[in-house]
Amino acid sequence: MEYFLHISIICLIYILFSSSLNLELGCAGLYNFGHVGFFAIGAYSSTLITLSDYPVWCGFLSSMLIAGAVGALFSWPVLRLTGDYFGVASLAFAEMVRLLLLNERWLTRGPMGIPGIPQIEVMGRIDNYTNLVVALLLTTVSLFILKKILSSPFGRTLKLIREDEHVARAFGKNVVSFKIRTIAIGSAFAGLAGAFWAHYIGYISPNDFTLQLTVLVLLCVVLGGRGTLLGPVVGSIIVIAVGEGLRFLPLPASMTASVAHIQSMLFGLVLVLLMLRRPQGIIAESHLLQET
Amino acid sequence: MLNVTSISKKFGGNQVLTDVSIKLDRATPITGLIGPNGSGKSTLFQIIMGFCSQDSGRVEFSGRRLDSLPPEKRCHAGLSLTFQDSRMLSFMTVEDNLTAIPTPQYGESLVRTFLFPRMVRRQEQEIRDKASDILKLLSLSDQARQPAGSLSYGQRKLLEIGRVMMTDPQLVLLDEPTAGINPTLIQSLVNVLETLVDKGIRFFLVEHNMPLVSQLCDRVLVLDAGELIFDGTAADARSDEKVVRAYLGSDVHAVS
Amino acid sequence: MQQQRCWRICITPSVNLLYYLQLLINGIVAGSVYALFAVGLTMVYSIFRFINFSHGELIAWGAYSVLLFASAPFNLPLWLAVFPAMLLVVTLAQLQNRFVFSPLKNSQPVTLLIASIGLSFLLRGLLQLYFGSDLRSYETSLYESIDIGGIFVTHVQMAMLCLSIIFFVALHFLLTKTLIGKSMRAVSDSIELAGIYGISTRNVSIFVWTISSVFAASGGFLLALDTSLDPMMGLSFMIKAFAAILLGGVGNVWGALLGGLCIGIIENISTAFVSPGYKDFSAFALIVVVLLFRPQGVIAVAKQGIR
Repeated sequence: MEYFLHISIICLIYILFSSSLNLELGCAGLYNFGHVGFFAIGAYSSTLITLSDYPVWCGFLSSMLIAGAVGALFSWPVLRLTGDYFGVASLAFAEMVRLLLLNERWLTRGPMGIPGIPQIEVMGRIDNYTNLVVALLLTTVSLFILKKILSSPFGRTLKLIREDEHVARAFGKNVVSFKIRTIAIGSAFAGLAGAFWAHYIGYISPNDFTLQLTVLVLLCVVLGGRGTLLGPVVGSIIVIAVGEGLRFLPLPASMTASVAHIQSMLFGLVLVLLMLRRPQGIIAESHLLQET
Repeated sequence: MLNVTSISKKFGGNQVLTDVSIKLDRATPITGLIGPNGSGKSTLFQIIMGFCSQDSGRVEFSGRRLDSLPPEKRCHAGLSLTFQDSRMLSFMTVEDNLTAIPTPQYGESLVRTFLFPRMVRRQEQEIRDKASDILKLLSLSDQARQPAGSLSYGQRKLLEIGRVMMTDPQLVLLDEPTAGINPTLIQSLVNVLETLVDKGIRFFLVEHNMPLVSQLCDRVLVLDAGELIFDGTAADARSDEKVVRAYLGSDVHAVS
Repeated sequence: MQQQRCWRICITPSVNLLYYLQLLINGIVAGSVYALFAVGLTMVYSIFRFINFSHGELIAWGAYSVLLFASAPFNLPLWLAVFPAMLLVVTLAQLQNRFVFSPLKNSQPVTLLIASIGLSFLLRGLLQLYFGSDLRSYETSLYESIDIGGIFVTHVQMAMLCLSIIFFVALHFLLTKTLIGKSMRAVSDSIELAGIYGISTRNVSIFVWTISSVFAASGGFLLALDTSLDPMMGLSFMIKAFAAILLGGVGNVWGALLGGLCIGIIENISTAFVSPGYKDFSAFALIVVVLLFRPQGVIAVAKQGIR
């Protein structure tokens, strides 16, 4: 039961994280491969704030604000790039964040990581049920807000920009402003997911925020279906289920250490096959199959 | 209205436009721009709209210099452009193709979306009404909820004009609006254009269909190899020696 | 990371200058190898129009397959192990081309990019599965260095520099003098036009992948010889190569060379001022700076295409 609770909470965190990526990647066509950087920023800012004796909700709020602000700042130079250039540059950004976390020991304790992060406490209760309820609440509210954003004229204009930037500009849309705002929002939610993750796990170190996580989340979004609200939800559930399921494979004892490697190989393979066979994912945004 | 002064443009070693000057005024509702393939018509449009920068020369619109403005600002000044390769927003519905266009919308601000939903909703209703009127005019109402990718090529071209109608531009640059569409649809396109002209919108169009050009355009400009070689009425253009040579000689150019 | 090179750090100004000179030399050497990576990346880009993320894995596979042939069942001497290793990596690149990238050729660049990210994970997972995640190194005694007026250059570094020069000269001849090289330049200008003139894009892509994988694998081997083997090495080299091509203008072979040299020099000089933990940081910071001031690349090319 405890294990099931744990998996559900992790799954909810991934849903939140991948939905925030989906806003950028699916709706605005911004292929942000450095999303894990904002997750890390959220995790670290909430941790540091709560460790200086502020309440946890304060940590959540500030993690959103800080991640969102960094997102806006980062996007300003990088948005001059389009498509895959932007992707690789954002990935470099995430690595930069990781290097900063590793090297600024006075703040982050470097590779040792920060243990003893305060747990989430609601009415004096600290247990996994509380965590689950809070996670459920945060994720539902965030999904609701994201849905609202997507169905608003803002979301519609984002789609216009994704489909054709030239048309959008010819009709007077300030493309850069839209993109910066999108990245700020996406980063804020990624920061929230990171903060929750930090408080749930209780220990963070820079090595939790590697490219591995980016690829996992990318897989959640791409597998589920880009640009749909439900896509990342479905994608996250499948990815977590398969990833966890691998642990139960009857492997010889010598192989158990390499489960993580098998996992990443499998995820990589699924990404490749997905691109070759069904790039639009499980839930296609439009029933119209667009030949590209 | 539009004042283009001695525009030149080179791509690599290729001189695409040489010292082109064009003056359009409000008195002429539709001006045609014709010329053999590769004569620089589309490039000129891209330069006027700001998607491509000129090497030298000026673009002025309603007395305002546009040279340093990005396309979106030029749009705010009253210019609009349709693209030669029908750029479809295939994954959006036909209706969204129109409703996304007006700028600025209240709902594009997130603060307003969350704090003043009523204001956003009211404007949204106006936009939708306008869109549905336009769809009716284009006889696309039945497809409003379908993805735009499912439309026929001709219908897409119509929808593109519909997008222009959502804004209130003063001058629209139409890049080959009738390329590849059937005669019936061409007629409805012509009707739509005439309605818009009555509303006070002016057009500058690139077109290969000569009968249509003589029917629509009161004034015709001819570009050949990046140079403006004719400016006058369509009837005169047909008999102008240089124009005829440009068209007949274009084959010779291509081979050499 | 173990540092086999030794250098003197003294306070006296003249020796201090020597120290910077040493860093400069180290930078040029590293940069010449980064240039090899960058050229492969940029050539693939000019044909397929996407940033090949799994380029880093070609680098890591180059280093590891030499280790593979130099150890247990094969036990080849290091210099001999290089040849089957190159063959292995080239085969790998051709398989990628045949089964993943060529079928996706007409998709959007982002689809290709995601596929290459997936591929890179698959390949890195394989490396980690077989070799483990720990740092490894070759068993060799190549680490002697030559003293040139107070500046130390190891044999490995000499080899790196020589190899880069040889490869770039060879590449220059391939691109300008051979039919396939000329075809490649044509295809990089316009795939459609090249098709019309009867240039086989298939042969060109085979050529491009061969060059890019040989460059990547041999560079990876030499860098691993200089430092150590790490399954994650590919990623940071790939990012450096990307920074180099941004710097040099995408699709520009000579720009990639200059860009690579710049990255190498900047990152080595930077170690004099900031903690060595930030050595990799400079490449990333450079990306941001370049984007801020010259999004089209420092050595701007008038048009896309290999020149």
